[in-house]
Amino acid sequence: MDKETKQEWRERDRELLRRMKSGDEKALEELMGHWSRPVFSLALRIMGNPVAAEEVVQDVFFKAWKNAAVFEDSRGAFSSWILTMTHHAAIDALRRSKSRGSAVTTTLDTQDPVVAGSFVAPKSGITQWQKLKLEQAMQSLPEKQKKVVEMAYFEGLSREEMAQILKEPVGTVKTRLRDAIMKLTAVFKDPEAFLQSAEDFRA
Amino acid sequence: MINHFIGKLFGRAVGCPCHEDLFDFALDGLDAKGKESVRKHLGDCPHCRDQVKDYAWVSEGIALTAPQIDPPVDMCDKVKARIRAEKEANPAPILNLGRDPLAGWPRFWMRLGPVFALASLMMTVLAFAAVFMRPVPQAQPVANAVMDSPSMMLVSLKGESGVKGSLFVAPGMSQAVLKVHGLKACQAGASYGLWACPKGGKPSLLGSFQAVDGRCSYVLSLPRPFESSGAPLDFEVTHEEKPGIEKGPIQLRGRYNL
Repeated sequence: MDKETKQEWRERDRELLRRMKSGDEKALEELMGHWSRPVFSLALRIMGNPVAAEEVVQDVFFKAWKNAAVFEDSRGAFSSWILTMTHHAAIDALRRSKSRGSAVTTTLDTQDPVVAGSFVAPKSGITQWQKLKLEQAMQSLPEKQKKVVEMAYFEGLSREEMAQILKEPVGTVKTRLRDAIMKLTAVFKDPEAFLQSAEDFRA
Repeated sequence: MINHFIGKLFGRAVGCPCHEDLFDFALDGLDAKGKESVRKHLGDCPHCRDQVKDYAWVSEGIALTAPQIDPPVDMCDKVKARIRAEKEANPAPILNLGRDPLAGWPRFWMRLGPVFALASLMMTVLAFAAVFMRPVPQAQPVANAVMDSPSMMLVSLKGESGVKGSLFVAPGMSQAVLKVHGLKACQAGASYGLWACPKGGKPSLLGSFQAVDGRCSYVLSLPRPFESSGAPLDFEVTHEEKPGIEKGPIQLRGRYNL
């Protein structure tokens, strides 16, 4: 997807939010059609349980409906808003379930074709350009850095918790995470340069 | 900028939050205190602001690296059902704006609006009252017209107990002016009558008035324009306890002679 198309998507989201503010449920339906897939995927990746993830997604879109008027386009894209909201809600739900001692019971391997087949057929929610860029960026990270990024982001673990699990000093974990974030930031700022020098990151 | 240049050399700019905090802020992962501290700093530091924007982008990017799975088909219906359930439970506007969009001046004007409207209404009513309920300034011009008439007739009236007065009439005019002193105020239902008594003729009532304490001038409307034959004419002011039925006792009397 080129930048122009991305801008069109942003305009589309803005228009849908504007309609949602005036109580148009059809707009919510359209917005969910575009965003429920990445939102659900993120929630599922964090929660590891489709039922719990579904609850999170419902919460997120319900909040999006209620807070449509609060969203300020100037402060960022709708995608950032909805994904941050999802991340926050899912991590919260995950922590709550852990603190209750009733950890999520069913773990879903999202790569499992059988399980994935129980859902409806995939529909294009994210562009191939985005996927390629992001996946390459993540894949190019050294394994240890990739691990801490996933633990921090998808599991909501603190540096201390990660250090405990990885049995490494907290300082090492912090450095590793910082280096990974720096690299990813550089990639997102200049993806073309990244594609040319991807191998350098593996060093 | 120097601060951040030094920060690049030593891993952290002096006075700025560390990268971890900025990243956690972008991920909404800080506690309330930490969040407020970073937010305050971002207000003054464009460099860190840009950094947070980049981190937010990274955060969004990481989110999108999750394996993409389609949600259940009835997800949208469930959300809509929840919205309708809340709408029924709370008939207030469905949009919770999160913050009050009318906060500040709009709310101030909304609250004062009815006060202004009421004040405007009262001022309008007062203005109308001032225009339509002001005393009709008729008596003085009429009195002036009678007294300024070149054919004005002045009749001195006298009564008992020091009661005295003057009558101003003008031929052809339908008003007469009576000035009296010492006349008692009328009781309820009573009045004074002004009679014209031609010599050898039948007295005719020219007009009646209610005497009021502290007032000595009365403008009387005559049933028809006053006519004078030039013959001497007596005028009497009587106290009518039953006005229109019978002529009461005479209070003042005077004669007009050419």
